[in-house]
Amino acid sequence: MCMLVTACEKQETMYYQGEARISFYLAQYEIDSLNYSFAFDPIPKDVDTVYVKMRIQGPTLSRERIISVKAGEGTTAALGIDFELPTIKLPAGANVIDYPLVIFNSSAIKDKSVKVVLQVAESEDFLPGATGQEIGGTSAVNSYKVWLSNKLDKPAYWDDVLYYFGKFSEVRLRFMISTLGISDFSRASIGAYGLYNYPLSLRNALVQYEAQNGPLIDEFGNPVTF
Amino acid sequence: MKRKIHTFLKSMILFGSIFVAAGCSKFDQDFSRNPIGELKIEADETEFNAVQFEELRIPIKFETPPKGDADYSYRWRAIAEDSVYVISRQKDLDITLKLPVGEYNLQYTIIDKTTGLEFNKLFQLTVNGAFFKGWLVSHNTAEQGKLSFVRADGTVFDNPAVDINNKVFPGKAISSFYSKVPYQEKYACIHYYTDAGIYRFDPNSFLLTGGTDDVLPKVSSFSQIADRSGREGYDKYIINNGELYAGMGSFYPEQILRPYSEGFGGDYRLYPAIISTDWSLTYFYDNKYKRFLQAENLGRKLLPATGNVEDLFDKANVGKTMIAAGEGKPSYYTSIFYFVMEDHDGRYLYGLDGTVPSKKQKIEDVHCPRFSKASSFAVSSVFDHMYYAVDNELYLYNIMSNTASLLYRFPSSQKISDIENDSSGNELAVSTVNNKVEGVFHIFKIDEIGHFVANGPALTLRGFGDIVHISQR
Repeated sequence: MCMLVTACEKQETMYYQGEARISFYLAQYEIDSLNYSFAFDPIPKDVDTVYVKMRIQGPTLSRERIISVKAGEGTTAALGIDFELPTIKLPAGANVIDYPLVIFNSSAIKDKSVKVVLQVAESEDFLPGATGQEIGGTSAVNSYKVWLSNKLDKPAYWDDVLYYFGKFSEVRLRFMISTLGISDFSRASIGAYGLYNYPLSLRNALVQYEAQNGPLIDEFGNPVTF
Repeated sequence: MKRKIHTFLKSMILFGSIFVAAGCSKFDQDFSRNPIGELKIEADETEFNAVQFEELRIPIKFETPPKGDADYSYRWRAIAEDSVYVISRQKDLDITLKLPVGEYNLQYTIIDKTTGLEFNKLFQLTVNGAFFKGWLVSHNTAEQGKLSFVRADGTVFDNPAVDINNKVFPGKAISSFYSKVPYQEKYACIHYYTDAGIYRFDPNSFLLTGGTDDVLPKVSSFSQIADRSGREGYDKYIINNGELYAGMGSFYPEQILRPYSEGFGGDYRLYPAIISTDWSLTYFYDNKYKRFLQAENLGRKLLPATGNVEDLFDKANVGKTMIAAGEGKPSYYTSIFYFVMEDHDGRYLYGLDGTVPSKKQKIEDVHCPRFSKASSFAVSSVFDHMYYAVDNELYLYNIMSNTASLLYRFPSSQKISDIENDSSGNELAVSTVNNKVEGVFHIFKIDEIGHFVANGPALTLRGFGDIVHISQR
C-alpha cells in the first residue's frame, strides 16, 4: 500500500518553450498550392487578393506582431509586377491570420502561367515555424505555391456538364462567364435550374453576338453553339 | 437399516403434507365486474370539407353510462402528416377554423375523468382555402384591372388581392390563371397578367408572393397569354406575345417557383395554347409558318413536330391559322386537344390525340350556324362537344356529327367576351359585357347530353367591369 501511494507523482504540463514562430497551415485534405486565373472573373479585374492561412507556434501575446513573407525559390512571377507581398501585423491575442497575397492581372500572364512561392520570412517577431502534421490533422508548411494566369483551363467538373454546355473550349467558357456573370458551372453550383435554363440564355446571347460579329469560333477552329 | 429408511420416508411425507397444507390459505378476491360506462359516440357525418377562417361545427351525441354520474372532459385533435393540433376542448366542435390548408384526421376524444378511460371517434377533415375552387375573373374599369374570384358556392370576392394585401396592382387586366404542376399543389399559384406586369399570388390566401421579376424577368410587354404545365408536369410554360418560356416542374419541385427561362427564341409566333396531349413532349402551334412545334420534357428548344406520312394531317405543315384550342377527353396516357383552324376557304376542326392527328373536318355554317363568326370556344372534357359564342349567342357543336345548334341567347346588348368549361365538364362559365363597360358572369349547368340545365344560367352575377378573361381555379 505504501509503495502504491509513493508511486503517485504530479505530472507537470509541458509548454512550448522557444522562439515565436509562424507557418502556413493546411486543413487535413488541402494541398500546398492553388491556381488562380483572372479569366474566371465575370467582371474583369486588374488586381485581386489571394488569402493564405497562417498560424503561430508559441503563445499568443497582448501586442501586435509583424509577419513577413518573401518570394521563395522557384518563383517565376515578378515581384512588384505580377504580385506583392505586404508585411502585415498579427493582432494582439490572435494565433491565426489570413495572409493577403496581392496579385496583378499583368501582361505577363496573358498567355502563360507564372508561379509565386510564398515563404515565411524571419521578422522581428517571428521565425519560420516547424513543419509537419499536428494531432488534429492540419499540417504546417513554410512555403505555399500560387499559380497565376489569365487562362481558362478546362474545369474538373466539365465532363459532368458537357451534355448541357457542349465540348470545352476556352472561348466557349469565356463567353459563358461574360454572358451569365458566373464562373462556376458545376452541377453543385448551378443546380438543375442552371443546367436546363442557362444553355437557353447562352443560345439567345449567342444569336445577338453573331448578329453583330458573325460566328463565334473557338481556339480549335470550331463554331461555338449552345 | 431398511426399517430406518422406511421410517424416514414416512416422516418426510408427513412433514411435507403438513407444510403443503399450511401453505394453503384463503385468498379473498373479487371477480365481480362493474360496467365502466362504454360510450358510443355519434355524429351526423364523418367527413367534412371546411373552409379556412370560416366556422366549423360538429355536434356530437353520445349515450351517458348507466351510473350517469361520470365526469368527462373532451379533446379535438387535428392530425396532419407532420403535426398535431388541439383545436378544441369542448363537447361539440364549434370553432373558427384556423388550421393550415390540408387534409387531417380529426380525432375526437371523450375522457372519463373518474376512470381515466378515453373514447375516440375519428373524422376526416379537409381544410380548403377560402378560394379553394371557383373562377378567376379578370376585368377592367376605366383602364384599371381587377381580379375577382367567384367561389364554387357562388360567393363573390370582388377584389381579394387588393383587400388582402392592402395594395393596389396597377395595370389593365389581360388574363389570370391558376398555375399548377400536377401532384405539386403546394407550389401552385395564381398568375395575374396586366399590361403593367405579372402579379403572383398564393392561391389559398391571395397573398402576393411575387412579381414580374419572379416569373418572367426581362419581359416588359404582355399579351395573348397561355399558362399551364406539360401533361406530366415536368415543365410548366407561359406563352406571351407569341414567345415561349419554360419553368421548372415536378422533377425539381423545390424550383417550381423560380423564374421561368428566357424566351426560347426562334422564327415563330406561337398561338397562345400549350398543347399538352402527350407525356413525353408538349406541342405548340406556330401561326407564322402554320405548323406544330414540339418541345421535349425539360428541353429548351422548339423543333418542328414530327409525324408519319399516313397521318390525317402533317403536323409540321398544316398550312392554316389556329384561332382556338381546347382540351377534350383525357385518357390515362394521353389527352385529346381540338383546334379551330382557319384559312381563306373557311374554318376547320383539327384534333390531336397524344401525338397522333385524330380529327380533320371542315365546319360549314350551313350545319353549324354562324360558326365562321364565332369568337370564343370551349371544348368539353366529358363529351365530344365544343361550345362556341357569336355575339350574344351560345351554340353547342357536336364534333362527331359536325353539326351545331343554338343553346342560349343573351339580350342583344350583352356580347359574350369569354367562355370556359370547368374541368369536370359540368359547368360552362360565360362572361358577357354590355358596351365594353358592364360585365356579367354566368354559370350554366350542363346536363347529360351537353345541353344547359333548365335552358338557362344557373347563376348570374353582375357588377363586373369589362370582363376580358375567365379561368378556373
